[in-house]
Amino acid sequence: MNELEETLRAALGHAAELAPRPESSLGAEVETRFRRRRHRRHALAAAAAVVVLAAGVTYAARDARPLTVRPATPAGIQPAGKVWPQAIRRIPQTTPDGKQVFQTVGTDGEDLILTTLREAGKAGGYIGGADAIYAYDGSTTRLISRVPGREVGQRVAVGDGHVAWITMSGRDTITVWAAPLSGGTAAAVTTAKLGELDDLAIVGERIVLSRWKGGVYSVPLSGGDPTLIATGMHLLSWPWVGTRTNTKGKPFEYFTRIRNVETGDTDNALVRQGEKDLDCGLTLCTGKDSRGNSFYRKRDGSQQRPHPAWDSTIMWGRFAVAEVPGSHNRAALMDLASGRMGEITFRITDAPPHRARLMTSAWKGQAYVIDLSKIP
Amino acid sequence: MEADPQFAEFVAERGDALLRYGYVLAGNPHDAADLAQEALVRLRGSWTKVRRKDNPEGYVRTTMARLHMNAWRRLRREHLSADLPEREHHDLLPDGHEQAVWQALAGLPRKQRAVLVLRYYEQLTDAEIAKLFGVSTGTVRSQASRALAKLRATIPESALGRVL
Repeated sequence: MNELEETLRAALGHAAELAPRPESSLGAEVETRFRRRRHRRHALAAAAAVVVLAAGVTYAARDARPLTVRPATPAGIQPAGKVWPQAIRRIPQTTPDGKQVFQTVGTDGEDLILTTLREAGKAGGYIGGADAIYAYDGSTTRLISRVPGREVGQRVAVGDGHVAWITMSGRDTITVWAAPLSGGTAAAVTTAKLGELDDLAIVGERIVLSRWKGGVYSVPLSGGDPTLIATGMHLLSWPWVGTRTNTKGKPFEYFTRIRNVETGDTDNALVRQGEKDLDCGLTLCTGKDSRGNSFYRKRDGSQQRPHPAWDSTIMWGRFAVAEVPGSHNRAALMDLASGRMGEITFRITDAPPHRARLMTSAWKGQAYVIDLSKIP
Repeated sequence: MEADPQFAEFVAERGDALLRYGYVLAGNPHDAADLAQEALVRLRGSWTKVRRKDNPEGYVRTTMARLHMNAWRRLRREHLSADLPEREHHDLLPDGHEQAVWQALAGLPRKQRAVLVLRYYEQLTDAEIAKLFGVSTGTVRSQASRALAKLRATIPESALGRVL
């Protein structure tokens, strides 16, 4: 199998992991639809053949569609850049040395910190994740550091005058790297058998590592061994860590129980009987009620509203990605606080969705970043 | 007819895997859910027979692939001069190159995409794919090689415009 085929196989395998989870009511829903259809077939048998055909086709098409909250009329949605001009910054598509800009991973004062994509350059194949890290001040792009080895996970953390990332060797061994934002050589901070990470952050003079399999660790930027901070937990947003259950075939629950590792404060989000797929941030939770309707509300259960988005997760406290009404497959960023929507194309966020602030995207060939913290 | 507990069990056990398959076939969560649900409703209609004679999961997966292809035929009829599909990406893949490939897949005709998914995700042989679609193995091979060539051609030059 050649490189493209290998990448294709890996991409399909990984993409499958991003598939929507079946609702626990799927079986009941299939049963209901089956019965309705059978009943309809019997009822329609009495009607004229032409009508049967037409009605059957229409109904079947509608019947198969999952129930989603959708405004009745498609509205004219503007591009996000027009809706929130103050939050948008254009970024270059290439660096001076001709590398493609891939992702905005953080900010340093007014500078945007960007990564470029590693490219094999032969047979159309691609290898590896980030290739180098740059600072962009609005007009010029400056190299901060090259990324040695194979960066994984597209998680590059920025903070405390540093940038950090991970490379992986074998199945479980990760090496954490850091480089000063002012430029200079990247240094290995630590190597440890932690397996894949689901998040990485720089907090003060430490790097916080959140294991995919659970367990939050920290390691000083200056080097050393990782110290376990919270057993079995995942980083939500420093200093908060929480639980994440995602057992196959069961409803998932993300961060319903959270703990502040600095103060010891805890918070348990309200989960009502029959609710499932709860996905909580620091202030809001999304989920499905016992009838399968999506909602979002405060952690304490108050102010529940129907959730119009196709992604359950809420970003930066109040943003979601929703479908452009009536479009079937175009995406819009939605501010749940104001109800405003702006169309976006694909997005790559700087951090896992819960604490994502910078969304890198492109519109009509122009690359840009949306800073969610600048949307009033 | 009473709800069949074995059917309910099948859906509970395999629903997850079927949605994953639907997602890589269709490329978006709506169509993935549609494909899985519609195929399951059809399986429900022939449950007794299928369970006795065949493997229900194989039946559903085949139905999903065929439904996907039929939707392709419908779209082709409706939009004969349609533009290329919108290039969008709504998810995060762990690797930028995989992301580029995933996006490029969206630009393939349904038939070619389905062949690639069956070959590289389902790991079916070309002969099995041919049987599923009722075409010759040669047709499957040419569809696959055309699809791979298209991906190969699309990805490098598009890395800026589409990956970013």
